[in-house]
Amino acid sequence: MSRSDIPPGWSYNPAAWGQRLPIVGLALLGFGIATYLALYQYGVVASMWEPFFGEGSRIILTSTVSHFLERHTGLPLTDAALGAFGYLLDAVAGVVGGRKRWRTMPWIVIVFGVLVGPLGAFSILLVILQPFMFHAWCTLCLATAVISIAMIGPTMDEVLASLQHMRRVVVRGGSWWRAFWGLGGEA
Amino acid sequence: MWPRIAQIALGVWLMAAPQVLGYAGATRISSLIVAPMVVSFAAVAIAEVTRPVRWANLPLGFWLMVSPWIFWPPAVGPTLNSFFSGAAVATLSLIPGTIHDAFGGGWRAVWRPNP
Repeated sequence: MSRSDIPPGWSYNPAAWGQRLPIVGLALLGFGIATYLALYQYGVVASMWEPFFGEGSRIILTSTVSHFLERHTGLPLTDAALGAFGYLLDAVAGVVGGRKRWRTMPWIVIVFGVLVGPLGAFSILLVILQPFMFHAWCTLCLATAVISIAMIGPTMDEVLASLQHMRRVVVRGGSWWRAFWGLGGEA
Repeated sequence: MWPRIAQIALGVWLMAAPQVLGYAGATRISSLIVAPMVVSFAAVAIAEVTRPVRWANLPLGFWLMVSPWIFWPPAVGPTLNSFFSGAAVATLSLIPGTIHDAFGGGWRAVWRPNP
């Protein structure tokens, strides 16, 4: 890794593959689990693995909340299907771009951060609703929430490096909009 | 890192507490809303760059301490459990822990750059 890959004042490069691939791995794991949950909700998989909470997974995965979109908009999307799609977007946004992407493509770094943040918040909300509304817990649903939360911290260092970069460009009289898209003057 | 791990353990305990100690009503709902948030903030604060998120658990710890005196659960066990768990959560969020890496001035530099 060349020195210029490291943001000014940083001790490491937050966009290095060693930093990003573990997050992508977590996203793919989340995608796998959420896909399995969604397949159960669509009736493709007949039974759900539930080692701790008895009927918990069945209650949660067939609950009114889990089919919220379907009931209110008619779109055939369950919460697990949305989650799987979210994890897939996370994985893609984690892979796109090279080791200098914190300054060459701030847009993808910030999209990455924006995707990881709300997915985490959405997971916390679903965890809170489980015992509160349905008096049940679902092991694999909790596992996906743990994955979502674990992704947030390690993602934010890259976001910070991109925000600092855009700020430096503005201070030098440049345009944050052009810096956001990775266009123009590199100093 | 250990203050965050301890907060996660306390949060997981508070998620199980209504079932284990057998309490219901407003105190149960309060535990079940606050505990997953404590766990989440603590987990995010493990990363050095998002360590400031630890401060979010300070008001949540205070809330766990005072809420039994607002909701008055029928038994003394849930009250003491919420009070002492909350005190521990609040105290642990005061511990900054070690920071090994440098982040170019951190989040503050986004508003006040230090190039």
